[in-house]
Amino acid sequence: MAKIVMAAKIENLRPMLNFISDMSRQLGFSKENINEIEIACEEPLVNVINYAYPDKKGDIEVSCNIIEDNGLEIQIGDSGQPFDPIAKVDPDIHAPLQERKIGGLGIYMMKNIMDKSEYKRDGDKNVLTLIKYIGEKDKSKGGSAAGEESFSWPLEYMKRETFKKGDILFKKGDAAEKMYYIKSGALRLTELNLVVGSGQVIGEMGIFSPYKERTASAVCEEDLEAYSMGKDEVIRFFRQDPAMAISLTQLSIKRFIENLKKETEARERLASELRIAHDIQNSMLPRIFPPFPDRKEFEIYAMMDAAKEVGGDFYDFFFVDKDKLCVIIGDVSGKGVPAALFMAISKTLFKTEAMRGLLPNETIENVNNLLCVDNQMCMFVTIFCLVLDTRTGQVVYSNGGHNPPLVCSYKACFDFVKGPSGLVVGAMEGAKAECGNIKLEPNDFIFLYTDGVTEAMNSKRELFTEERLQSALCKLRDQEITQVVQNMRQELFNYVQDAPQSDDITMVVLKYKGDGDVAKG
Amino acid sequence: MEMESKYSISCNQGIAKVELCGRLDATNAPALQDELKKLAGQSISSLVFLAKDLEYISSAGLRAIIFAKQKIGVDTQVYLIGAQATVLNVVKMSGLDTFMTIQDNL
Repeated sequence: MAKIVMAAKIENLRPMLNFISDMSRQLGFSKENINEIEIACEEPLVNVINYAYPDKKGDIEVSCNIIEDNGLEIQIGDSGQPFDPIAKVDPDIHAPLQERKIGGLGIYMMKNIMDKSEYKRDGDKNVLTLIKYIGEKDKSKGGSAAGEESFSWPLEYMKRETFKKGDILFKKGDAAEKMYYIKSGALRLTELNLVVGSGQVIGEMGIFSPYKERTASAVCEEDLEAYSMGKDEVIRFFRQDPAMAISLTQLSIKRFIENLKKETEARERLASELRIAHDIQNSMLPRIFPPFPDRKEFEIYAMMDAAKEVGGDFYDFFFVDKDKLCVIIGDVSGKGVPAALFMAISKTLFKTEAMRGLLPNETIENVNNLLCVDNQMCMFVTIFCLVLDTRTGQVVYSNGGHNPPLVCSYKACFDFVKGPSGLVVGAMEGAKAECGNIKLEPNDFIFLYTDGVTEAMNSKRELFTEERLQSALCKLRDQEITQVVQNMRQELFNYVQDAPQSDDITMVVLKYKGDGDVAKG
Repeated sequence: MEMESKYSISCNQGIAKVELCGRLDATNAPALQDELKKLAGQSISSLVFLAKDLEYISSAGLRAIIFAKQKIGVDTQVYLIGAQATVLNVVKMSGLDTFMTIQDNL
């Protein structure tokens, strides 16, 4: 219908809103509706003006289109920083605190006013699509193709069939032999949760698609009068009336494209949610190094690299009192969203329990009992929990089914911790855990990791193995701890090459420097 | 056809009157917000928005009103007088009607 492009500047807000209200007026919206549409559009436009371009140089593109005869589709596009205004609860992050809780008001109103608000990152562009219908949108129409009504069906080629309410026309998986034109009544496509009514056609895919199987079941919602046409009739009809044949084919393709579009949109929405979940999960792990710049008794460095957008690995470190540093590494069974949820709970529980100053085995036992309650998915987490006394280098640890870390004494090479290892956490209520002890000398360090390291797979599906880990680490022992982790990551990249990352990869290195006096000396 | 947007603030015996005209949106709401900020600490008991000639108010405009209420004081009564249907509609949609007294006339 129409499009304008303007510089993203506040003085252009009103011209852009005027453009949108002019378009709404042309389409026949009421004065109240036009006012609402302006209000709905103002917030996202102001967002782009204020935040999309950090250097304040860029354009906003506003386009208006008529859709489905009675809807106005407004698209607001910019090529600034990726930003999903719909997902953001509080877009006004620069506002002072007192104002913050009202920052989301504009977006709330936008969603309230418009019938549809959708954000998409399209290449290097943010595109916000807002749709408002005149009057109440006819829900029973679903997403069906406009223009079906204008198609006049060759009823003389078709067979009249009647069905009673509750009758099943076909079931999902049935052989698709014919298409139906619905003269009157309504039926429900149960798997799609879609109701189709008079004037619409279903099952045309069965004729045109190479996969002759029903993709959904059709049940009559009301008594139904339909006209059906099998493949042979379609062929006969095509020969007699090629123009109509083209129309029918177009109708079918149009529907196919719409379905595809809907699926793609759903997938993009999911992908966008996963990206947000990824950011949330990453922000749960301490990522600022060095984390305790004033503590000279030790150094610590860590990384987590999830195989999917979200993962089940985690690490954490914190002081339980002024001298005792607790370090945790864990790996939740499974991958993806379920693992990430379980990870969030586990990490919180471990920190809460450990902060009480318990021994590592007590922490593990308590968290195990807490996780066992209501753990119907039978998920579990492997954990290695240690507490370092920064004055003495004494380490107390407990292992809940986790890969044994490696300790590198400054004089010798890396070796696996040989102490006790207990059951995974969350699997069996009342399980006991044991403690082990290690004495770190200045410049000794501990390398903790998850099985994503040792089980990294190359394209021949061969594992990286503990042996390779050990020998790779021995070569890195004289390096800075950040280098140890980064070079180890590189070593893994080199090993797996083009094979996709099969599991989350997490590494934590803790180096003991000795107490203040020793560190100085 | 569009009215010039402007506002005027007068203050008398603890009653602040704010006359709103035309449009209150992201282009002029921040300035109004700054003006309202000056009322803080003046022991204002009532904050009266005269909205007869207000044609359009967006979330930015509403934010200025909420801000005023937050800054000026918890005990300050907020009135919205003579608002047109379109403006009232927005006020209700955002739930602001719960803390403002809405009247046709003073």
